[in-house]
Amino acid sequence: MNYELRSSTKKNKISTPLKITFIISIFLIIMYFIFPLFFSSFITAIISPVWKINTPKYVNTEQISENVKDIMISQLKIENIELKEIMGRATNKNILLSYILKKPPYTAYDSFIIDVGTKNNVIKGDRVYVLDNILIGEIAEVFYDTSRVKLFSSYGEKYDVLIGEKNIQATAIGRGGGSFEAVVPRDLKIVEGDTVTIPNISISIFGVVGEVIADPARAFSTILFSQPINIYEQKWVQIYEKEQSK
Amino acid sequence: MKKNNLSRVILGILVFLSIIWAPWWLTWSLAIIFLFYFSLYYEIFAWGIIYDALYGISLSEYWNVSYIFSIASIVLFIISFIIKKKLIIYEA
Repeated sequence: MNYELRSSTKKNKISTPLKITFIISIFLIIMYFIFPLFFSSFITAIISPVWKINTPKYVNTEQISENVKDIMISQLKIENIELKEIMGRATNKNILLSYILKKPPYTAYDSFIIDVGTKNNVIKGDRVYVLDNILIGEIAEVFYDTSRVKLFSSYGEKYDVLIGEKNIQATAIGRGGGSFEAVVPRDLKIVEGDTVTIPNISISIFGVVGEVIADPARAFSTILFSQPINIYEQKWVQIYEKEQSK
Repeated sequence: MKKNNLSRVILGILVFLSIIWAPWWLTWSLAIIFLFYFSLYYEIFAWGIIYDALYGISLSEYWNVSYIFSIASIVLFIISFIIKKKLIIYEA
């Protein structure tokens, strides 16, 4: 009886691509634990200049057709009204107006990238507002000339809020896209249109109650509320220092 | 430079530019297409790292992990590698 001879060469159990993947994974884990902001600082510093708003210092109006001039004028009028509305309402001198460079769907993370950073004295935790009194988020990461804003309405984020005239305290859970939900005892008199604020920041609006879902079989009702503006339609935000938040 | 390498570089630049200017779904659709188009698309690791470096933020939605796309790129590479081994179309 003949038996096949066992091969003397050892089989390579793990293939090269998987070895490379493993090495890259280990490298990334080490980098993220030891230097968590290394890649962010480096790559943001390289790419942020291309995101900047182009503001030409001189425009030769003679070379522009009448139609384009009209479009430019109407655009400037809209921008002027927006800025007047934002700055006209501002009462605090320490606000910082910032342009939104990137927002969903351009970012998969539910966040904004804005054009101010450490060079403008922005720090992590500073509050971010829209139209002066609508709180939308806070600064999560700061780089030299850009920052990342974490939106309060990001899915699963939890915040303490006060609902209605009686300031009923509840925990709001973000549902994404400027919407929230909160669960409160059913007997509480919360109605559609009640305002939602954040403790200690009573002047600023956090949201407006849109729907109250009350099931007679349950002791709790679910409050659905959303921010009074569409956060993704905004072009400008204002930043207040953390200690000086309204 | 070989034609394949040249196309790889050009498509790499395309993905890189899409990270900067295009919506996230376009970037990652391109990355997944190229993952199966090229035999071993190691560039996807770079796209994951660059994407998280530019936009990464810790959110409850992503288990408070700010480098979710780096992890996703590694997982996608491994999955594509396993799938390619099973499919006869990828046999040399």
